[in-house]
Amino acid sequence: MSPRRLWRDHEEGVLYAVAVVVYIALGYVFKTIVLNWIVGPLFPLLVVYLVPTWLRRLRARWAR
Amino acid sequence: MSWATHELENYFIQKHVGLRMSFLACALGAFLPDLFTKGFVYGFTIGSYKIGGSDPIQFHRGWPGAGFTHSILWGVLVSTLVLAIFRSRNWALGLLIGHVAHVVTDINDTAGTMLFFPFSTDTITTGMWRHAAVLGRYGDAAAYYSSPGGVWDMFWLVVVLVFARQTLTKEYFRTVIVPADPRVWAWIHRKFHLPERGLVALYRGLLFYGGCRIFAWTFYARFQAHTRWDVSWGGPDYVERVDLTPGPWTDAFWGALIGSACLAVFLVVCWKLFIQRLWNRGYDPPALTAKKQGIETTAAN
Repeated sequence: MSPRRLWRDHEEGVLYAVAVVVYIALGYVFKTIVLNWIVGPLFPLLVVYLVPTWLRRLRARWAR
Repeated sequence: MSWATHELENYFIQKHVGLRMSFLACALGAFLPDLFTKGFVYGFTIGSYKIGGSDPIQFHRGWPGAGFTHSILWGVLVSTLVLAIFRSRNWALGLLIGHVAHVVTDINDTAGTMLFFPFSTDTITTGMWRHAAVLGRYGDAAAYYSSPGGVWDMFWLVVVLVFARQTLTKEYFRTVIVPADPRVWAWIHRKFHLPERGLVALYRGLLFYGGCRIFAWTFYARFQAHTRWDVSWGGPDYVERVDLTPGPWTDAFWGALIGSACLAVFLVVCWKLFIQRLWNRGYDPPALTAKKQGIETTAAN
């Protein structure tokens, strides 16, 4: 299986795992800013949907 | 107080209530008791003024204080108001269930909650872990995640991941969560241009927040605060125990018994007088109405 296909099949799961690790690390360091009712529930939306969407758009723009 | 359980238990409740309850309302209901009081519990400063935090336990759970927000009646009041204004049964039910789950969970700390306020101002508590708000937010977190409270949060994370994991799937989101609350999810979809993937991430956000918070604060307690690990019942013992209902437990027991009986009678009377009328003129989401009609048709055939 090619890495591209592997990524396509498991992209969402990997992004959630990344979100968990990054959030716990950021929360450990920046407790007040990160570990709150606003940032916490919105964080997966940022990592799993918004950032990949922005990156895809940027890549598409560079490719043109 | 519980730290992550309030976010986690919503998914377990959702699994059992299904279409009858709005998940968003349940989540909001779970925040409701602490929504306007938590900031004052730890206190904050504006310029040279310090606001709140002088007697956090009495303020948070006691009377006089804001302890009434941790009573069953407060949840009934808010959800009845929502039912009267918006007529949405599943929002009223979600708010009530989320709120009651929160106040029942909070009986596990030593401060307890006035479940039957105003008919009894005795706090009900199992005394599983010590309410440590007097130590400030960080001290409270370190104490909580060194006590049975941390174990309690972890227990709920495992319960959700093992017994309610189907509520986390896209299929469940598509067939239960959205149909139970179509207007709000459709509004979020339109307003923020979020496709299903984004909406699901938003839906899973509470579990993510609750679960990650357990680990972040546990690491803080172990590696930064270096608090002693004490998971014995009523721990950690280095925090001073404050009882809002001092005296023999029999007094609190009788107070609670009479309070619960009075509250039950009061709620039945309110139901008969006006809540039932509000409920009857309220509406269900179309998916639940269709399901009910389907069941009736099947029964008639």
